[in-house]
Amino acid sequence: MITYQGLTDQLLGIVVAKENPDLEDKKANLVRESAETKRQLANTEAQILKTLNEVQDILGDDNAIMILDNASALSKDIAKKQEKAKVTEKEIDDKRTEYKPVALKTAGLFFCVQELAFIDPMYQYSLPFFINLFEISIA
Amino acid sequence: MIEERLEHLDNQFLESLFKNVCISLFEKDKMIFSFLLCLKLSELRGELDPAELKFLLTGGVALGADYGEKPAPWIDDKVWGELNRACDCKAMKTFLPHFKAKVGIYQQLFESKEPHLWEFPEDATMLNAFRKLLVIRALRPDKLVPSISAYIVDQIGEFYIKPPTFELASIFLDSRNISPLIFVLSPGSDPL
Repeated sequence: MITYQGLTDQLLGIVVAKENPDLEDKKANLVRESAETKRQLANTEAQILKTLNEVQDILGDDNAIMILDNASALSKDIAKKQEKAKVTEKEIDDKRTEYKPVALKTAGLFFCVQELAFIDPMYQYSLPFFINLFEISIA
Repeated sequence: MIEERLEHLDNQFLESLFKNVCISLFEKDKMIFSFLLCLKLSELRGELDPAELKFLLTGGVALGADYGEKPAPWIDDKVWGELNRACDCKAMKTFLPHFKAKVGIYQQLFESKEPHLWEFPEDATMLNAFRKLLVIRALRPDKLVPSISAYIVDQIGEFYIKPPTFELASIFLDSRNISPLIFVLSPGSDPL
């Protein structure tokens, strides 16, 4: 079952990838980076807990204080990175939105072509046929 | 800049879709397809009232309602009934008083040899291109098809009422060993 929403998203992906490959790359990078920072954050948190757990006299242990200091600096850094990533993501989404009207219209036309089957059952057109035409016409 | 590009994309795709789908349609169905495209685009722009489309397709159901006195003798019961039912659509409500006031002018449409080329009075502002079809349907159902053809030209351009000529060479390029071409022939036609 093909839904209007799903098809619109798919077409949007196609048109943006063709029209603005940098943007799609950027988006992919962003997803990777955000996964990486999330992993770092989890590590840091684990480290903090571990240190707190192991050390008896927290104020007397220079090593523990250093580790906590480091962790605090790192988590600040990560928070900053995530902030920045959010801005970039919004930028990318805004750019993508510009192409949305084309995707919406094209998805509508797909369902229009599907209706031809009511006129004659021979008139059946597949989604790959339709998407292929769409890709060719962007080029 | 981006708007221009988007418009270009839209047009390019619509043209290519029309060309490629038309290849596989019977001649008689090509205009229906163009009309469907027009309707879909106008629906996507939020301009199409389903009630109006329903009237265009069915003429509305006569339930023996009394539509009141006819404003002129040349209007028969069927025309009067359809006109009233067309004016049941939300945006058409103001058309009926307008019609009554200008009934002399609309008689020209009723008697015209080429109603699909007829110019509606300037103050018929409640009628967009589609609603004019409803009036044509009520007054001149015999010329609805040429009127729809004119509507298609007006909406998406002349290209869409002149199906591309049959070119075996270009169609052949689309075929492969696993997607063959199939010809549905009727007596007297020869694709080669």
